[in-house]
Amino acid sequence: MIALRQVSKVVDSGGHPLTILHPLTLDIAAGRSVSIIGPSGSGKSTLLGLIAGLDAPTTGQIFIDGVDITALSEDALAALRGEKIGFVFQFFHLVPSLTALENIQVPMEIAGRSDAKARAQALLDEVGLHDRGHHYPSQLSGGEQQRVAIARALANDPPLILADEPTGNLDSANGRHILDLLLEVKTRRHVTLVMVTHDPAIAAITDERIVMRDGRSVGEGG
Amino acid sequence: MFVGRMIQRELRSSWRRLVFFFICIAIGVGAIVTLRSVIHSVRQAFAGEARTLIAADAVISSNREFPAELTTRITARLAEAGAQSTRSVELATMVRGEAAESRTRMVELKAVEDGFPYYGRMTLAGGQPYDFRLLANGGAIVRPELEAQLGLGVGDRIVIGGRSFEIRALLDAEPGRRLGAFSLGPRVFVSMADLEQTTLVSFGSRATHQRLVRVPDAALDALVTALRGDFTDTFARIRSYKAQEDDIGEDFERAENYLSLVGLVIVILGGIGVSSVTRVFVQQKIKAIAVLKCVGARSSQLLAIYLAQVVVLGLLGSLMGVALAWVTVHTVPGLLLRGATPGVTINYGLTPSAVSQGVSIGLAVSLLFAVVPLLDVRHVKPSRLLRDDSVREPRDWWQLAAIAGVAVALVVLTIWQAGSWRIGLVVIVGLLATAGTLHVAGLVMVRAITPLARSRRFAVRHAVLQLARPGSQARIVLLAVGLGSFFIVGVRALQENLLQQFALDVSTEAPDMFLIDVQSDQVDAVRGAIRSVQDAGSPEPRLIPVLRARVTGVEGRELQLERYEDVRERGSLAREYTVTFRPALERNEQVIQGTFWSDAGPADAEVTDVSIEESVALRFGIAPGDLMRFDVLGRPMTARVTSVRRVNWGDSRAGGFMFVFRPGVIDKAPHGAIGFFKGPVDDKARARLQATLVQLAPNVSVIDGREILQAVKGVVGNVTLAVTVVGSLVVMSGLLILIGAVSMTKFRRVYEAAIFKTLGAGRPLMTAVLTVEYGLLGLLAGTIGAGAAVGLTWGISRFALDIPFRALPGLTGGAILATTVLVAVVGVASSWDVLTRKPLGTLRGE
Amino acid sequence: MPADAPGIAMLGDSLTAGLGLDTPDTYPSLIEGRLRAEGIARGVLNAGVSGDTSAGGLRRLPWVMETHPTILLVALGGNDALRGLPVADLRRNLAAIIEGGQQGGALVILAGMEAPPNNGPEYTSAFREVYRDLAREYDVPLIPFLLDGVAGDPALNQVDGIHPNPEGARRVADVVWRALTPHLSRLRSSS
Repeated sequence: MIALRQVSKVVDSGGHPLTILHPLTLDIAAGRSVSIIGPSGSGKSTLLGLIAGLDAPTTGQIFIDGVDITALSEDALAALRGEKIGFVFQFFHLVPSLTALENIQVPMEIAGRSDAKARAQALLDEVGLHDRGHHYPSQLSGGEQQRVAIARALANDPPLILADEPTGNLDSANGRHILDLLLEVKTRRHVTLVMVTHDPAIAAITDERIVMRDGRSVGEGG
Repeated sequence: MFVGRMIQRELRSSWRRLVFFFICIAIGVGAIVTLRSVIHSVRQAFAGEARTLIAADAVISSNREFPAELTTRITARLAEAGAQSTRSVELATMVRGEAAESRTRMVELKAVEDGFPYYGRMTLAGGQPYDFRLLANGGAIVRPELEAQLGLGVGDRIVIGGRSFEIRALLDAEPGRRLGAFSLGPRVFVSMADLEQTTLVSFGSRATHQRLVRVPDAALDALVTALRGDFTDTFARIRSYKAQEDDIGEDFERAENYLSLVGLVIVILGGIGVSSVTRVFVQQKIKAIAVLKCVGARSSQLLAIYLAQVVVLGLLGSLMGVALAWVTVHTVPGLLLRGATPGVTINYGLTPSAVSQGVSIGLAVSLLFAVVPLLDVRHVKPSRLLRDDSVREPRDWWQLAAIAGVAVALVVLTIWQAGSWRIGLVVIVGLLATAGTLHVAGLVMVRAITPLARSRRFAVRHAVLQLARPGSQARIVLLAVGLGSFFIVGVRALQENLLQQFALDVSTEAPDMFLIDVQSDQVDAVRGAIRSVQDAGSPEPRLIPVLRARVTGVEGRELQLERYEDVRERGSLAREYTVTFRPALERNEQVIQGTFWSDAGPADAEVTDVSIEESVALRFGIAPGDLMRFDVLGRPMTARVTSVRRVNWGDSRAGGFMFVFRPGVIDKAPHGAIGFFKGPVDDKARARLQATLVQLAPNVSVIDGREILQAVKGVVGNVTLAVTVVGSLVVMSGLLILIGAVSMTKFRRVYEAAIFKTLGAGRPLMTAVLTVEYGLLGLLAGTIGAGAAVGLTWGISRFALDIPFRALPGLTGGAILATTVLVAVVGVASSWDVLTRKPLGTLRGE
Repeated sequence: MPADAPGIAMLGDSLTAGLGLDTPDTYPSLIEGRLRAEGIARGVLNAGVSGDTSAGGLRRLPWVMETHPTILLVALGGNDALRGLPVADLRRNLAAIIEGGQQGGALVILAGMEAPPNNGPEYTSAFREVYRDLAREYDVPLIPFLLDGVAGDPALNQVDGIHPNPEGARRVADVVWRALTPHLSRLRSSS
């Protein structure tokens, strides 16, 4: 599903090059759940951004479903994300001006699907928010917002879900529910799940773990 | 589909945030549509009146009788064009009552046929309808002045050209008579047939023969051209109402383009507001944009969504502007402009061309000012959802190209609105120069206050640090608010200067009756007669002695003209000058060289003193000390130039003379006087005064200038209103800019305030920081703007309008103070939620 | 009498002042030229003021008489007619001017004017009578009509139809000269 070949990222920091990701090669098979774990600044979010095509690597190649995304234009990347990748963020990032239902509809509309509305309602039901479709994000609790975000991530049936600290902004009970929902979805839909977290307890429930420290992968943690 | 839906959804939520955008456009468009519509309406009214002004489609006129062959020719041409015509003759003649002892008066007689007038109508006293039968068979319609002067009324008989006529009605107004035309006497209408029975029109008569023509519009131009060809070698002339219309049209076009330019400036000010709002809007939308990009939206789709929103809001704003204009046009002019244009009825309303221009400008400005900030949408990286990297991309070529495109489009827009390349470019260059000056001044002033950052007071220190730190929004606020206050103070100051000038001319004390040819021995009696009828509080009538003189020689250091023939070679120096004498300067004069006498000189002096006007000194190189020889009514007189005067020609209360002599010698020469005074308000009293003066001094001619003066007052009233309306609109636009500019800096402030609060700064302290910061900003912006405006006003007064410049310190100081307070209040008020909000939410990025 | 006293003073209005004409083309200048041609080296004082009426002329008379002219030509009244001023005033003013001129020792010659027909038959005939009556009453030479043969002819007038053009002014000079010829001896004898 995901293949990284010698991928590195160097940024300019006050005139000096700063390596935030050292050359890294890894493969993630389809249908697996993987957590990227490490302390703040270890490069785990950078790695996720690169996999999502949100950021371009300094060197190396990234393949998603056999497509080299480092060779794609901004617009092709956007299309690829719309079709293949679902996102879940720590701060939910719902569009505040749209209702829950509309937030879910958007990716399908971009992809040009005609059944967006019906499907969005079905997804809302799936995440357990049947009757909250017409609420705006500001009218929803954190946990509810994250459920909407998960429904949105599933909108176009992507084979890959990327989650950035999905529970980081929630209390432990709500966090637990979200985590359960993510794993349940993953199992039911046979998608690949890549999740960034700093919490070893959360990392423990995924199939695999990539442990990051100072921009390097220090192997399978435990 | 996606784009369409998103536009709909976004508008649902963003209109509240963009309502300000909307208002900016609405006010600008409202201004343009109002100004243009009012002018269109007035112009249409006058153009419609163009026919009334000549009472026909075309008028053929001659100061001789039409020769028989020409009459045949004209008749043939008219028949060919399917035209009708009616004849009329105007001449001055004597009228008296039928009684043998009756006084005789000169009147302006007009003889007409049945059919007159083709356009407009005769208005008779008491609302009596006009009918030709009133004139037929020895009838006459006369102006009320004649009634007063001869002591006759309706039903009485008068003698004209040896024939008896019956006064059948009194005349209020007639079509085809020019307002303020010099008149030899009151109007009397008779029928053409009756006139032909007299000998008034015969060889040597001074009369104007007219043929009023009514012709289908399609045939008019051809007829006029054909007749003009026929008239080449004759004294006959033809004038169509269109020529009249063209004269009127030109004046109005100039006024329209000038006012529209002011409107455009307002729209551009609004545009600056739009630009600020859009920038803030995009900043607020950054996360949403990142999310949409994350879920697969392309930059072009997003750009389309936001551009479409701008178009929709621009359109709505424009329509709202049109609505505003509708309300303004239907209330304000009706209330205030009534009676300003006597004889012309104006139907105020929005005109299609004004509306379409306003809407297109509103749309164009919305797009132009929004497009550059909107292009930032393309730079929003979805990766910022993972990391808060607010690294700003450097401006790319696209954005630079867009800025260039916008600039070009603005120039084109300005030129279009100004109706001239030259004026358009001048305005643009002026605007750029002003913006540049304001920008540089802003930089300098920010640097100047930087030392305050070492202040011990926390509020002052942090306020200054905020303003002076790199990347602060201070410069853009300075520019925007500075520009706003610049326009406001500029427009207001010009207005004050202009209106002051007008006020002099049309003050209630301004003379409205004029006397010519008063003989010196009649002056006292005439003055007494005027005083006895003048209303209480009216200023003393002025009777100024005048006599004619020619310059026959100059013995100066620069100029030596021996004989009159030499003087003649100097062109206008040889003309017959009207000169006066008096012991002191007038209010509208100042001596710029030499000294003015303070008393009468000796009566037996061989050489008297003369003071010359500035232009005589400059054009002919004559200076104090030079000797000038004059021919005063056939007698030589030598005078030494003792001073050069500057005359304010705009203030006509004391007249203006090229040569003023010292009394003593010249007053022995025979001289007459001209007079001006404020006549009584009551019409009857005015007529009585005329009659008294005629009896007292028959050679004196009285000219009643009240009609003209009232027309001028009406015009001035309208100008005042227009300038005031425009001025208030500018003030509103300035306020909008201010709010827009403050809101631009707000998001940063929210974050900073949250940090300060977590560090222990209380709300009073934060309020103090904000107050000082915005107050300082307002002070700087106000000073810069007002300073620039004073410069502008000075320049325009001095070089363009040629009126004296007044500094108006009250206005300038007030403007600076108002800007300071306003910016502080708006700044603090719009940051109110910053002050009250709990810091944690802000820091968490909610 | 001062040495530089003018031979003739011409008290008049714009017709005398020569409105719209160059000075050498005005009839007073032409008369001066003819005097010179006759060997009479006497000046002609042009006391014409544009727009002046008989009332104005009367007030200017003392000023003109101070120069002690040998002959006083009175050519006023045109503006009185154009403005429709009362004929009685014209008569009074002209009479006073003639008396003043005669008392000042000058030979007064009266130049007649015509009121245009549009003023009405009563006015025009009364106006005409004034000159005839005064000439008879004061026994002064009369030029029946100053603009005789000139008025109303487009070829001899400026576009305003009132003021003679240079050719018209020559005709006026002819008319005036005819009236002057019998009295040239006065100018010779006193020069």
